[in-house]
Amino acid sequence: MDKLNDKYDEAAKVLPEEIRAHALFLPDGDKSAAEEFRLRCGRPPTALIRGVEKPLCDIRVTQSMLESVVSAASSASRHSVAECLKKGFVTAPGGHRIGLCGTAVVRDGRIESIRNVSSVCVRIARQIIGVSNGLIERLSDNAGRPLGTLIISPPGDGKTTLLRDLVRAFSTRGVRTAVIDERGEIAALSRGEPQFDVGPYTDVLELAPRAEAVACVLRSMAPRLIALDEICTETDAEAVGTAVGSGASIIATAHASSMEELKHRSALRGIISSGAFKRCVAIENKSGKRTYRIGDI
Amino acid sequence: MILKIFGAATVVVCCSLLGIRCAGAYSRRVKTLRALVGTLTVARSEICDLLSPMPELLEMLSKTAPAPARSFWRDCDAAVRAGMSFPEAWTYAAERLAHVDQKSRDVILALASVMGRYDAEAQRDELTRAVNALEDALREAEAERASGGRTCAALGVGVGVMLAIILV
Repeated sequence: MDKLNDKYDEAAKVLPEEIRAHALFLPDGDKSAAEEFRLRCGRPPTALIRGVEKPLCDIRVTQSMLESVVSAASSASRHSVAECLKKGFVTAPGGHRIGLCGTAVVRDGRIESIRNVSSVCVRIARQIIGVSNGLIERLSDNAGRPLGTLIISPPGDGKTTLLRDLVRAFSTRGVRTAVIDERGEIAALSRGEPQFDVGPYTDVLELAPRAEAVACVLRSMAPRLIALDEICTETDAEAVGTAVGSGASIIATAHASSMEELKHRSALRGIISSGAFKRCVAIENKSGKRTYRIGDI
Repeated sequence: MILKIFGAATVVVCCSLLGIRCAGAYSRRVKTLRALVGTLTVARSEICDLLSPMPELLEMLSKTAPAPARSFWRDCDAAVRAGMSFPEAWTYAAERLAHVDQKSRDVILALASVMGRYDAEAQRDELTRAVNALEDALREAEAERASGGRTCAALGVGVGVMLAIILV
């Protein structure tokens, strides 16, 4: 409980001071169950607790408050997070992903940045050690080597948490693992040191485009297992293909409520049929209680 | 008589020290400007080429910057750690910076609204402008040191000797 609340308090640090005071005043039970803070311009701030958004206070969020969240999350260094801003998020120290909406700055048909931020969503990153207990055996072959695994669920149901714990568990068993942490959420590197336990034999490459990052770790770190979060595009599919061709197994996550839904997405259909993944873990979330259903692909 | 000689010597020494101190101010300004140009150039590379976040940059420069500029980076780092926003911390440190003229201080103060706020290329432009302006100020300061510094030292000694002669 303490550790869960520590992460809550850490995530609350990016909130504007006047809102932070209210956020820190929540009962411990709510703090440990909270998944997100949401701030929308002109509206009271809320916390997502057990699937329901609850107002934190009556204060109306202003745009300068939202700018202060971005500034705090980026350590007043927009240049360091420019690539992330193009994708609509910033990752705060501790691995808390902060999603942004506002006015997009578009150049040549591509989002360059976001100005006049209108709302932010602070996702509280938590590590639940042991969440993958009982899954590991079924996601390994007879020799204990990890099988290609795809973790699926709708957004916010704990894919990253499960992926992180699988990485930790395989690494602890001696599997040399590379984490491609495109958003800095899985390991949350701080000056080179992971803030989450990702195991003793894990190498992390963060904030890099997945396809390039996979090629890079294959060249330089010779991993037996590569972990990728939220694959969804053609280039992600290429990244998976590159890794599989090298003999490394892949554990990845994707947004989908079922395998059938996944098969309808053209970018991922090819990967699934390529044999890169042998197992699929579907996360089912019923009122905050998660269950894992494993199937063959 | 001994008292007179002692008094005269004291006057000469004091005036000379005042002159040398005045000349030293020229040197300190040159050293500070040179250190600022150097560290801002490092900051530009860190920000624009390595995309280093501001807290890491401040920590590094507060340890490695040459002495005349180190206090600036250290003050800024301490202010950020104390909870000030980056522009406030930068302004606070720039206002405390010693041995620079107001024009150079204004150049540094102008960076407060730019550093960390825009993308790397926008910051590169502003930092380059600031470095160029400070290099101009450095050239002026070196020229002033060459002429004014020697004049001050000579004037201090000369006035001291003259006063001593008049008083004795």
